[in-house]
Amino acid sequence: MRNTLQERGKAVSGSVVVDILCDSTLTKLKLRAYKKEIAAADSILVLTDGAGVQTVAEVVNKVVHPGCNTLSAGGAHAEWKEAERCLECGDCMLEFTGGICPIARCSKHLLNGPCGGSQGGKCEVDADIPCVWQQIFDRLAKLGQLDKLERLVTPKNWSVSLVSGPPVKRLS
Amino acid sequence: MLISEQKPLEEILSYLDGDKSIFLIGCKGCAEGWGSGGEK
Repeated sequence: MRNTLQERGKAVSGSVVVDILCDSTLTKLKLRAYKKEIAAADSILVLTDGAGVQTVAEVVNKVVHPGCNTLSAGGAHAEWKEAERCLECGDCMLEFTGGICPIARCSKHLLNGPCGGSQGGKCEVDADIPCVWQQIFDRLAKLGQLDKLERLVTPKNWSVSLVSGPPVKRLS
Repeated sequence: MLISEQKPLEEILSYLDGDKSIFLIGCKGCAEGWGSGGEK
């Protein structure tokens, strides 16, 4: 990917491969050593599943781009014990939501939000659940990217996931 | 193990439009296992 980006006129300020990227503690510690390279970059391209992209977005105050689509958890879970962060939709939309997944974390799985049940940053389903669309709004505001919310997300093609809709065999 | 595949290059490049310098992050876990984002 480094060579491909450079051939397309992009500078690569640095790169790192983290052992288990969806482990936020490990990722935070590992990225400390790349503080200067990350600061020099306009954004971060993360090549892994949705949980890993969200981990980076949580520990780094920088625009994060998803480079992959997650097709299935393969019977496993990411190293994010308290909640599921990726529902393997097969067409990752983290690019447009500040690196926070509304499919996994919105009670209604809304692609365009928030709904009318978002009150004081909490979800109407349970007052202990934060409204993820409020979190997305806050994150995009912090990054100066609120314009991304002006894009209407049309219904997704769920068949590209290996776990949603009809079974589709895409892997050889 | 989470199964992932790289997005089409043109889609990735559209995300990076306007960005001159990029920092790359991969994972030695699931993504390396599936060839979507490891050392290679």
